[in-house]
Amino acid sequence: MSTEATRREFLKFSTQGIGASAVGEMLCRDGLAHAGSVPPQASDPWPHHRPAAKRVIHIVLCGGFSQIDSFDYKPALAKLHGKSLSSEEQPDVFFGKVGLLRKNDWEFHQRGESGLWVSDLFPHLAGVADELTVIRSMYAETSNHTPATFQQGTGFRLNGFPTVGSWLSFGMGCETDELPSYVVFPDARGVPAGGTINWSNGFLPAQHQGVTVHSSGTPIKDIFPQRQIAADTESASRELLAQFNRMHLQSRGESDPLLSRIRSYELSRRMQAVVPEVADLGQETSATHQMYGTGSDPTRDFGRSCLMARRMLEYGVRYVQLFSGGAFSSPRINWDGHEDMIKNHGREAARIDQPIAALLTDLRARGMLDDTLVLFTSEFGRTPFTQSAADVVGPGRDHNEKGFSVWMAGAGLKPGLAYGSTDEVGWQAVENRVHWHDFHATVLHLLGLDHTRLTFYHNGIQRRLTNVHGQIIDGILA
Amino acid sequence: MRMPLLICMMLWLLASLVNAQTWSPERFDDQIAPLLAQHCFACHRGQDAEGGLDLSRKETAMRGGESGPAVVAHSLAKSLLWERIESGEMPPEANLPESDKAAFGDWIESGARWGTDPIDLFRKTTEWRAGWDWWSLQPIRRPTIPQVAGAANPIDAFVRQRLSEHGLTMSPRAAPLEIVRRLHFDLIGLPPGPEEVRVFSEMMRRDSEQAVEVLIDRLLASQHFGERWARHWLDVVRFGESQGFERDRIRNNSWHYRDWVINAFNTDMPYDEFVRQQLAGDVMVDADADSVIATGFLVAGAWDEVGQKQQSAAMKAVVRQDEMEDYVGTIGQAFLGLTINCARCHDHKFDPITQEEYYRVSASLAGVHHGSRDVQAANQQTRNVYAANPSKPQATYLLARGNPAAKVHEVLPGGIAALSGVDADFHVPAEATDADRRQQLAAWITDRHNPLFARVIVNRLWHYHFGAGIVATPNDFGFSGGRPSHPELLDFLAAELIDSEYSLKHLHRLIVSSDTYLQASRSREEGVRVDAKNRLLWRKAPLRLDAEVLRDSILQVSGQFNPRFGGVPYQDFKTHVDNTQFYEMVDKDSPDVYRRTIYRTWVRSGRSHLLDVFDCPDPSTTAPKRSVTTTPLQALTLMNHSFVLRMADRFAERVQSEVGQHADEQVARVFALVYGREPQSQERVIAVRFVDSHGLSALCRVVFNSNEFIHVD
Repeated sequence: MSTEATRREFLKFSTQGIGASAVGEMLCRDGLAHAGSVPPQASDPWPHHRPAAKRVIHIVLCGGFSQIDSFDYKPALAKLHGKSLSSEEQPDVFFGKVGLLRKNDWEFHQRGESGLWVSDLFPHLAGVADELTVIRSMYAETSNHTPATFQQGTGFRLNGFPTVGSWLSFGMGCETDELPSYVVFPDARGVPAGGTINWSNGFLPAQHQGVTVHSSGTPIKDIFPQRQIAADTESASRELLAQFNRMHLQSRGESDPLLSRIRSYELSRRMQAVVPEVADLGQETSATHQMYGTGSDPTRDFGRSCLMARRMLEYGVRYVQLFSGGAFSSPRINWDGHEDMIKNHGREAARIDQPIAALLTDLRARGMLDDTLVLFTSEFGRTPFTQSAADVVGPGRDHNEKGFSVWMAGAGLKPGLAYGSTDEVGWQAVENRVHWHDFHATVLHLLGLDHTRLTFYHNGIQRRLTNVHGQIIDGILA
Repeated sequence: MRMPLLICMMLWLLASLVNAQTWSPERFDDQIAPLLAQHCFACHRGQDAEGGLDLSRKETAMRGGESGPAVVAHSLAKSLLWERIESGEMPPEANLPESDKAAFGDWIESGARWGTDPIDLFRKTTEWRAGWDWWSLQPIRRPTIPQVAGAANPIDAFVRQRLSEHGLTMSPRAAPLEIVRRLHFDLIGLPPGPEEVRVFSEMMRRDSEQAVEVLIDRLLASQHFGERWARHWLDVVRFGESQGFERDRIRNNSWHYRDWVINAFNTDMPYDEFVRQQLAGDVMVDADADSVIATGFLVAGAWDEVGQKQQSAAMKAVVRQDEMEDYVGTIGQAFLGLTINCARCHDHKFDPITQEEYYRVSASLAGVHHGSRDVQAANQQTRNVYAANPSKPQATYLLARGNPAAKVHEVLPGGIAALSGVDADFHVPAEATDADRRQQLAAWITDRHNPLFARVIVNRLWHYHFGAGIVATPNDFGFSGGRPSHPELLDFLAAELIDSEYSLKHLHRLIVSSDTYLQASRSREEGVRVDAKNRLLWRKAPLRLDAEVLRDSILQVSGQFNPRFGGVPYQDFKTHVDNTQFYEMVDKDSPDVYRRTIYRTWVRSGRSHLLDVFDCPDPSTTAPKRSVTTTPLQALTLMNHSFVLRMADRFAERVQSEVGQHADEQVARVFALVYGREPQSQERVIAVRFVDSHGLSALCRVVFNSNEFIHVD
C-alpha cells in the first residue's frame, strides 16, 4: 500500500474511527507486505488458481492410529491371524519386537451409498462415510513419533519449520482481523509432545503462529486484562494511549511502523468484542449440542472443540487444528496403542467419533462443506503384527510408517472414495503411494495455492512446505 | 515432428549468426556447458543418471545413453540430444529459447568440440548460480578510503560517497536525547536513567564529540554490554536449553555456555579465538574448563534423544545424519554465511559447494556428540556442563541423495574449495582423531585469509546496529542471499577487524561513533523518493525494541530489575516429567525472575507468550535476523498480561515513593523514567487529569504500551 493510501487510512481512523476492513486488510497482509528487501521473501499473492476450499479444519490424532482397525479393510488378515508375517523384507520396527499377525479388532462393513469400508471403531463416522475421501496408501519417513509428527505438520522431520497452518496464514492471509488466522485446540487432557513446536511459525513472521484456544474458560490468553479493571478506566486508558501515540506521530512524521501499532490497538478492541461472541456456545441450539455430544463424557471435550471450531470458521478463521491426544505420558492419553489396542483405540475413538461426524453433518447442513476442507490425519499407522515375542499374538501394535490411512472431506474432493492400497495385510503402502509432501501439495492445491510457488526465503533457500518434492494426488480430486 | 518452414528458416538464420565465431573449448565452457548444467544436469549427470545418459563428461555425452548416441559431431540428424531439444521434448520443464537451440545446433554441426572435462559447474558465476568467482569468495582487500569532505570516520566517507552518487545527503545529527537512548538500547539493551540523560545532555553542550565518546566507552565497558550482545549471538547459534523433539528434557547445565558468551563479549575476546574455542576449544593444547564450555555451541541445537535410542539401526543412522546437518548447517551459516547444509543430498543448487564437500565438513565433525561432561573449574570445583562429547570418529561416506543406506565412497575431512586463499584440504588421514579434525576445521574457518570469516561477522554487527546488514541476509553470502549495499565498506570493516587482531569492541566503537550511526531518524521526502528502504543510509532507521529488551526495560523503569549477573537461569514455568517433559508457563512474582531476559531458561516447547508475540525466535534453528511484526494479539498482550499489569503497579509505587502524591510530579517522573524527557504542556494536562481519575498505575500501563517507549529513534 502506498504512503498516500496509508495517510488516508490514518486520517479516516483519527477522524471517524477505523474503517475496519480496509485497514484490517493491511495488517492482515503483513506477512506478504513485510517482505524483506533483498532477496524478496514474499511469495506470489493468493490465489494462484481458483480455490476449491477457503478454510480448513485439521484433526490430528497423536500417537499413530491403526489403519487396519479403521479404514483399511484386510480380509486376509483374519485368515492369517496367529501366523507370522511372510515377507522378504524383515520388519525394522521401533521397539524391535515382531510378534504374530493380529486380525482387526473391530468388524468392517461397507457403508452408505459409496460402500466405503469403515469399521465399528467409528460407528458415527460410518454414518457419514459418503463424505469421506480415504487415502489408504500413506507412508512416512520415520517411525519415531515426534519427527513423524513434525513431518506431518511441516513437511520436515526436524524442529523449526512452519506448520501447514502457518503457511496458509502466510499465503492466504485472513478473512478477518478480529480473530487470528490460525487457531489450535489442544486436547483437553494435555498438549502433544513438542508442545508449541506443533503450531510453530518456524521462520515465518510471528503473526502466523497458531494461537491456542480453549473451549472452556478463557478462550484466548490475554484477550482481557488479567485482573479487574473498571470499564471507564479501560476506555480512558485506550484513549490516552491513542492521544500519546498521535502526538508522538506528529513529532516524528508519518511512518508505517508507528501507524501499524496505532491500528493494532484499535483492532485489538474489535477482537475483544468478537472472541467472546465466537466462544459463546450458548448461542447454539440444544439439538446442536446434543449432536456434538457436548453434554456428557466422553465426547464433551472434543465436542465443544469441534463446535467452537465450526464457529471460528464462520467468523473467518483460516485454519483450525484440533488435537486428539496429548504427549507420551502415563497413563496414555493418545493413540499410541503399544500395550492394548482394544482398550486404547476404543477409549480414544469414543471421545471423537460422534463429534467429528456431527461436525461433518453440521458443515454439510450449513453449506460450509462446499468450501471447507476437513483433514483427519495421524503421524503414522500401526503394524499388522503385534508388539510381542515372535511366537505370540500380543494385544498391542507397534508404529508403522510404511503404510497407513488418513482421510479428507469437503471441497474439491471425490467423496466416498478409497484411494490407494496397502499390501495384503495392511503393512506397506503398495499402490498409489502418498508421501506427506504429496498430501501437503494437494491440500495447498485445494486452497488455491501452487506448492512450488508458496515460498519464503530463509537462510539461503526459498523454503516450501513441500521441500523440493510433492505431487498433487489427482486421483482424489473432483 | 515436422517444423513449419518459417521456423526452420529462422533457426538456420540464427545458427548462421552464431556460427560467425568458431567453437573453441572456451566458447563451449561459456555457452554450451552452462546450458547443459542448467537444463540437463538435474537428471543427466553422474553414475545413476536417467536413461544412462551422463551429459557432464565428454565421453559419456558422446556415447549417449540407452537410446543411443547423444552427440555426434557434424551430424544433427544422428544426435539424439539435438532431436530432443529441437522437438521441445527436452528439457521437460520448458522449451529452450530459439537462440539456445541454435547454439546447440551450431556447436554440433561445427564438430561438437568439448571444453573442460568433466564440465565444471562451479567455476563461473552464471545467471542462475554462483561460481568460484562469486564476490564473497574473493580475498578481502582493504579499499582506499574515498576523499569526502567532513568525513572523519572512514565509514562516513563510504556512506556519503554512495549517497552523493544518488543525489542524497546524510541526515543531521540526532538530538542528544535520541543519541543517549539509541546508544543505551543498542549497546546494553536498557533505557538510560534520568540522571544519565541529564549528565549526557550537559556534556553535549560543552563538547559533543567528547560526550559521545565518553558515553560509548562507558557502555562498552558495562557488563550489560555482554548480556545484550550475547542474546544476538544466541539467536545465531540456535541456543536452547532442552532437547527438543519428543521428550524435550531440560538441560540444566547448558547455561554455562551462555555465560561464556557474555564474558567473551565483555572481555572483548578476539573473534577468531572466540570461534576457535566454540569449534574445538576442548581439543586445543591449552584447553581449560572454559574451552569445554565453549563447545556448548556445537550442541546448542535440538537433539533427538528418542531417535538415538530406537531399535532400528537404519533409522538411527538417519537421525545421526540429521544431527550432522544441524552441525554443518549452523557452522556454515554462523561463521561463513554459507548454506553448506543445502548440499547434503546433491550439489548445492546455487553456490559452488559440492555434495562431497558437505560430507568433508561433516567428516570434520564426525567425532562430535551431544552430552554432558564434567570439567574442573579454576577453583577446583567440578561442574557438569552440556558440551560437545568427543569420541573416535566413525568413517564418513558420501551418501547418494543423502540416504544413509546409499554409501558411495569414504570422504576425508576438508572444507569448501571455492573459498579463495585458504586450503580446503585438511591433510588428515582417515584414521585422524576428533581433535585433529576439529582443529583443522577451526584453523580453516578462522584463517585470516578466509574471505568470508571476517566479512560475515562485521556484517552481523552492522545488522544489529542498523536493523539491516550491508548484506541483507547475514547467514547467506551466497547466490540466494543479498548483494552488499556498500561492498567497499564491508571490506573496509573486515580489514579493520583483522588488523585490530579481531577486536569486536573496536568495530562497535568505530560504527557507533560514525555520523552514519549518529544521524537523525526522521523520514525525509527526498530519501523516501530515491531510496525508500534506506539501503543507502540517508537516515538512521528507527527500531522497535526486541522482546527481551522490552521486558528488561519494563523491569528497570518499574524499579524491579534484578541485575544479578550470570549463573543458573530463572524458570518462568512449572515443569514435570512424564516421559515427555512438560512446561507450563507461570507468571511468578519474584526477584529471581526479574533478571534480564537472557537469563531465562530457553526450553524449546515452553515458549513465553509475552516474548513470542514480540518476535522472539524459535530456538530450534539459527535465526540471523528477527522479523518485526505488529498484530492485535501483541497489543492485547502488552495491555493485559499479568506481568505488565503488575509492573505498572510497581512502577506507580516507585514513583509515589520518589516524588509523593502530587499527580503533576508523578507524571513528570513517569516521563523522565520512561521517555527520558519532561512532558510537554498538553501531555502534562491530559496525563494529570487521567491520573486524578484513574490512578497512577493506569498511566504506567499506558506508557508501557506507547510507541515512544517501544520505538527507538
